[in-house]
Amino acid sequence: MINRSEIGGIPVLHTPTTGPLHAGLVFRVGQVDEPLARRGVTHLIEHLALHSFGAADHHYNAATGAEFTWFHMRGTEAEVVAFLNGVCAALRNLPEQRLAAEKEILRTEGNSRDTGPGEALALWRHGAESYGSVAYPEWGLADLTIDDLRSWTARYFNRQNAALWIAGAGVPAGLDLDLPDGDRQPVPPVSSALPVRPAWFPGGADLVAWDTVVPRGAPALVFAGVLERVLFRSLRQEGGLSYTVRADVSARADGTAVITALADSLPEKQGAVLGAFVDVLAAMRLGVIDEADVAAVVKNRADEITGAGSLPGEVFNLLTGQRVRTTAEEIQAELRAVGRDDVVAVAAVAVAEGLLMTPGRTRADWAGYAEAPAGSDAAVDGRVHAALGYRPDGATLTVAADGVTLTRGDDLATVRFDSCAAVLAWPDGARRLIGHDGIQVHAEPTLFADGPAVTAAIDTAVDPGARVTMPAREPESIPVPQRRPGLLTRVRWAYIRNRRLTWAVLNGLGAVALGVFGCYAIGSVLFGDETWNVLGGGFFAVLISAAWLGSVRRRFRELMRD
Amino acid sequence: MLPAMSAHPLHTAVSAQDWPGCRAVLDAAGPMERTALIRAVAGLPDIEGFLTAVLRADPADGTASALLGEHLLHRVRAIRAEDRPWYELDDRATLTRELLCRAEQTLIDGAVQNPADPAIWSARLVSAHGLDLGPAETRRRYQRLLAAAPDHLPGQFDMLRSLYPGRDGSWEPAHEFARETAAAAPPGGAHGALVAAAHIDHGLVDPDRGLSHTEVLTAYLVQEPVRAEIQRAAERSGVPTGYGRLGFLNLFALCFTLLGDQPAAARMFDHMGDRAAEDPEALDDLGAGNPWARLGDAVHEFGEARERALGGAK
Repeated sequence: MINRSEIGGIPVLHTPTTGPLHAGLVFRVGQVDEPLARRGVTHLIEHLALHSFGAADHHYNAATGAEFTWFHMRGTEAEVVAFLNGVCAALRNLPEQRLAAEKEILRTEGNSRDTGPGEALALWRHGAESYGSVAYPEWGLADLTIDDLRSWTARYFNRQNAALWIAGAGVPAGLDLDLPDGDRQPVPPVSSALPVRPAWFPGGADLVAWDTVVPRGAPALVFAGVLERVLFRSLRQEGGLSYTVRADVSARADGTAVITALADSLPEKQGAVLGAFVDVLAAMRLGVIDEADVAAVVKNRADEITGAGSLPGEVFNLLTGQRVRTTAEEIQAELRAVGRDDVVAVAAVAVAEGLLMTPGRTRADWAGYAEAPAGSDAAVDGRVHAALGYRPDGATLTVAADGVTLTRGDDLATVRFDSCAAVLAWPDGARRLIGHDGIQVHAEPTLFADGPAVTAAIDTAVDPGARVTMPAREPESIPVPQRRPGLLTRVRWAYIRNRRLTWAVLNGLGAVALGVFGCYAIGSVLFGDETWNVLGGGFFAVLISAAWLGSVRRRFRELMRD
Repeated sequence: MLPAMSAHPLHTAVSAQDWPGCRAVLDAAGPMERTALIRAVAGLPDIEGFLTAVLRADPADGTASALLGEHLLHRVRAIRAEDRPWYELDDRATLTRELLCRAEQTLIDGAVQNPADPAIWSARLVSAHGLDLGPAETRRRYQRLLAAAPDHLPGQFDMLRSLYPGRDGSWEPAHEFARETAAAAPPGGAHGALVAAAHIDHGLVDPDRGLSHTEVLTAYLVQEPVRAEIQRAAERSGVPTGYGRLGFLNLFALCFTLLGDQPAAARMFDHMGDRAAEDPEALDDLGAGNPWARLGDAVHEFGEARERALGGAK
């Protein structure tokens, strides 16, 4: 049972439990709110807010998620009150002297953090903004000032944008949660970098991963459970192909839920893991779903629901205007109302909206998935800077008033200045532009003709707010144009690339030469004064040449076929 | 055993776009005959629209999925066999990939609805090979085929072919698969044909050296280990009684003819009876291609070999 109340304008959800008090203060702010050039600002504030608690053996922790940031504490009433009031005090008045140290700590944390398939899926699905920005490093740390942080706390860490949950005997006295007034902040609109769905993109060699976006609710929850069961049966029990097989759901503030499924693989088994995965998704799409699986998942999920377990989730609902459910029975009833038909309906939407990460060099076009865009369709029209030195791919960098394009062979990467999420700026003049669609253009002024003009043009055109200052690079890590290799080296490379063709051509030349020699010999007997012996030799040479040419022709045909 | 295909009731039913008629013939056939029959009519022209309509009416009709999939795969083979003049744009790779993808998607849906249909899993072995999905996926599909129908010879031929090496690869995995599958097959089965077929394909893999196919293949077959293995496979199999009987007899008749083992060849020809001589199309009841055509004109080669074997025996 969840009771609703209020402390100083902040909504409180309370569930009576026994044992130590457990409370969480939640703000509706997270990574999705951060512009790419300010990535990490929320995380930095979270760290500064906790600084004063030090390493004491309090049972507290805090986290910055995609949509929410929260501070949790378990302990006696007095400890919880001291913690939550302390967090609010620190948020009101950030410890400026800790700024540099916490930035360093966060840089270390970011360095050791593994990015999982979730980040890659988010990047390919959403690009470099909203839900895609979780995939990027905390680039904002370098340039953030205390004033940036203060304006961020004023906007997001305010009374109207917070909520509290408490599991324990009662709401403790003495909680004042003194925060400034402000506004409830809505979640930014969801961006999309996938023009066609279902789609696929290549990932690491040892994993097949997939995600999708469906309307949130009990059917989505049950569908994810069914998917996990079917994947587990097919990939682990029957096929013996995967060890880890998982499907998770996470709700989003906009009324959708993201379902993520993954199956690991040995590199030599990746084709089979992908094949079995694709077959399971096809079964889901066609509604070939077992009633027994649905019933088992409904039972398991309903049994997992306990009184206080859902409290943080309900606070998220409260902060994003979703319906708040106040009893476990209510949630269980929603789950138990889910039938096979509901799951079939969600499954069809899920597969149609899916994004598949295929292992290694495998593809998924054969299974009806569109290739997710890895480049741009169009180039900008402007000044073309040719690559300096030896570039077999013939790269060019085009700079126009509205954007830049890097061309390598047939591959285009274009970032328009009006949809540039961030530009990384190195002191040596190198710039990397990241478009809202996630496409990047990396411009090294040392590698292109009139490179400094490229840097200057980018710096004038890009919004200064999107600029990220990068640390200086060691001189030896600044690239220099590749020297054109010697003629001999290039001939050797060309030979290695076209070994069979070279041999066929040499053979053909040899055969033709032999034929010409034979004809000359015959001619010199018929029209000259050579002896008849030479005639025989000439015919012989022509014959051999004809047979030789025949085999060369066949070799050419084989080459063409391959 | 197939009579000449054009007179077969299935051929008539497919040509007349009579789906209940098709199903009546195919549902009555054994699993291996069914797969072979589906393949035998998959090359009929202009049946895609018909089959698509059948599938739209009943997406769970596995027979229609298998036939449509096989039809598209047949078109892939037809396009690959086309000869294009060198000066024309060669778009065959794009065309075949597109057809392969469509075949595969038809078969994915068919396999989901009918996980125990061996005709679908056999076709998916072919599409996996064409799409280059890799050995692990081919092996997985073969396991699914075995789970649906153990000893399904048409699919085992597809598996065998997918084990054939490309340029410079080893043939040993293919021969090993043929040996093991033949050894594990039930008595009376024609599975020994896998061993003979693998050797014939191996022997003819690089035929152009100014020699005739007969000479090239003979030179390969007379190697002692090859001869011994073919002999062992023939002895172990005995004479098959059901599916693939004629194909089996012909493959071994050809091998023994080239090996100069007239009495053994004569036994094979004897078991065929007379019908085989009259109707060369009937020789290919394994769906693996008439082996005699590998040497030149099938009717002529067959007739000559039979004459020699039976004449010599008299």
